[in-house]
Amino acid sequence: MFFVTFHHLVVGLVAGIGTLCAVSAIAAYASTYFVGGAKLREHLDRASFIAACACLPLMPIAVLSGTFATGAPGEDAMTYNKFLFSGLTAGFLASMIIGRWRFGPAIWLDSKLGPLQTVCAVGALGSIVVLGSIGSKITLGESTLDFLPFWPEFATSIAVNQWFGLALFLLSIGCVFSAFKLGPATERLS
Amino acid sequence: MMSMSQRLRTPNLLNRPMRARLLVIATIAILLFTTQSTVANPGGEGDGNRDFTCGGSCHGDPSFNQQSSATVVLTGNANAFAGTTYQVDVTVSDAELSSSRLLGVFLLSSQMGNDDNPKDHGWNIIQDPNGGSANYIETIVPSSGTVTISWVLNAPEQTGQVELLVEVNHGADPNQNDRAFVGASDSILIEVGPVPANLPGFALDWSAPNTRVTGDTSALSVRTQNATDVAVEWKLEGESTTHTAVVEAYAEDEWLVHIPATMGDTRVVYQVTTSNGEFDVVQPWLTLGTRAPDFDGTLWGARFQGAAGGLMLFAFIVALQGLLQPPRKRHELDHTAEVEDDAAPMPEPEPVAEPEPVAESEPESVVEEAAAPPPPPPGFEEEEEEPGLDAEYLARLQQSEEHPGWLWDPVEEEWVEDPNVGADS
Repeated sequence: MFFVTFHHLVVGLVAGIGTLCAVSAIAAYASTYFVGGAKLREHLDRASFIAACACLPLMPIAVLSGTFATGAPGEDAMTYNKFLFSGLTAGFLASMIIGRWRFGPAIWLDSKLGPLQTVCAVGALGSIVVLGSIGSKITLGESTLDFLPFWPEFATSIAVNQWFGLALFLLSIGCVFSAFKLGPATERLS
Repeated sequence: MMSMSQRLRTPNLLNRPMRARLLVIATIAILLFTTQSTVANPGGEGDGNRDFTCGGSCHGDPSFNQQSSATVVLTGNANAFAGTTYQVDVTVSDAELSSSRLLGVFLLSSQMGNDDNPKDHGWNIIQDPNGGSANYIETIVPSSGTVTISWVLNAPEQTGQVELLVEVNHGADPNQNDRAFVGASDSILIEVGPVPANLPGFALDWSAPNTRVTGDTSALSVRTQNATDVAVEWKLEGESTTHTAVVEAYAEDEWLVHIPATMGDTRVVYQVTTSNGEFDVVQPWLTLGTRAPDFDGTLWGARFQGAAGGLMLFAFIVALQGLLQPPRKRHELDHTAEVEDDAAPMPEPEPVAEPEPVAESEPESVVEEAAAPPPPPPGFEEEEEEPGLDAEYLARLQQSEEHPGWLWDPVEEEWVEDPNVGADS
């Protein structure tokens, strides 16, 4: 019972902070199209960066509390999809943080990195919406995405054998290592 | 008591409750006007076990329903054996349906409206037309306008006369008054008699499986009582050609029936004949649907796969950031930033009244290099100064105690700077 309440608390924080992060990032990029938006962009950039830094460590707490709050987590398609979209959300948030950290606040002004950062923000926002919708579909039977003329098929999922999943996990760690060590050196933009 | 004229003359005191009342009335009016019109489940509520009038609902209220034009025919044997299978067939035709062509059908055991579910009168529904075990089902009427469906039940254990009937409800297009259109069949009376001794049939606690996983070739288990032999005929739903299934005895009163695997939405109907040498009882047709494979995910599989997806996405975007970053050629040539960084920590020089010559603070080589005149252009012949003139000029200059650093030229009658003072300082 405690984990259900705790999960609701953490999920609320993740959804709220994550949405703030994504919306601020999208607005920061949009401000580059307006003359005199530098000051506003500075605030939005900071809000997005801080919110991403706050949201990312809450993700594993939300996943763990959800695991303990559910009867058979990962053994049906809906909860399995929650794990998958939690991973995607964390990936998008981490990408936003590392991009902002490596290239600085001028990342929004770059013609290629700015849109990439915005794509990450949109991806994070979409993943959060899907996560919330699946959660409310499980608990309430209705969700945010019900207003759409179609309901995405979250009742099915692509599940792999857990040992194959472990192999994928190890491979992904290698991918991250390669991306940092073998990729080109980066420097802050001015 | 105040008169109306008095009230009008003292608006500040008496209008306050009036305003409150008006506010309440306006709020209630707004709430009433903003409520949406209510239509009771025009798309149906799905299959389930329901009474026809669920507590005075639209179906039972004459002001909310209208007689359907449908012809509803219920057929079944007039006799049944207690506790054995019994089948009723329902044919509905000529109904003016809504655009969805959705039709709801109730199998009932009473015309009283409530407690009319056959289960309330001892019947047990083995299989409804949609493969479940409900007394209310919804079906789509084909464009031909006629639909035939069947229920398979277990007759009540108690002997006697029982009743079965069918009622239908549906919408219409157009349906100007949002009415529910209802219709009913004639009741059939069934005489439930005692079971003959040694009558072969299904085991009382056996229920027919509704579905199989797609591609499943495992045998279907059928449990019987008083049967020494079992034969099974099967066919695809909607087809007329029947096939004989392979049946093998698995255990006492348990039989394995081999029906080919099905894919997609395929439904198989099969009919079991139970025999014991004395009786041959042909059981009703049963339906076996096909369902998607069961989900076989695990907690750790979900954790690994979710983490792997997130990390791969992260690695991909990190690599993409490295590829999309601006080119660095300009920075390799331009070292302004490094020079500025090196110069930044140095303290700023204190302001001085007179600028000191740079020559003493800098290395001699730098001073000499800076003081050296540039090489003469090609073809330029430099005039050689006569050393005697310079010495003669310096000799005639006179020093003055009143003006240190300056010399008096008596020829030109002007003060000139003492070159020795400038060189010393």
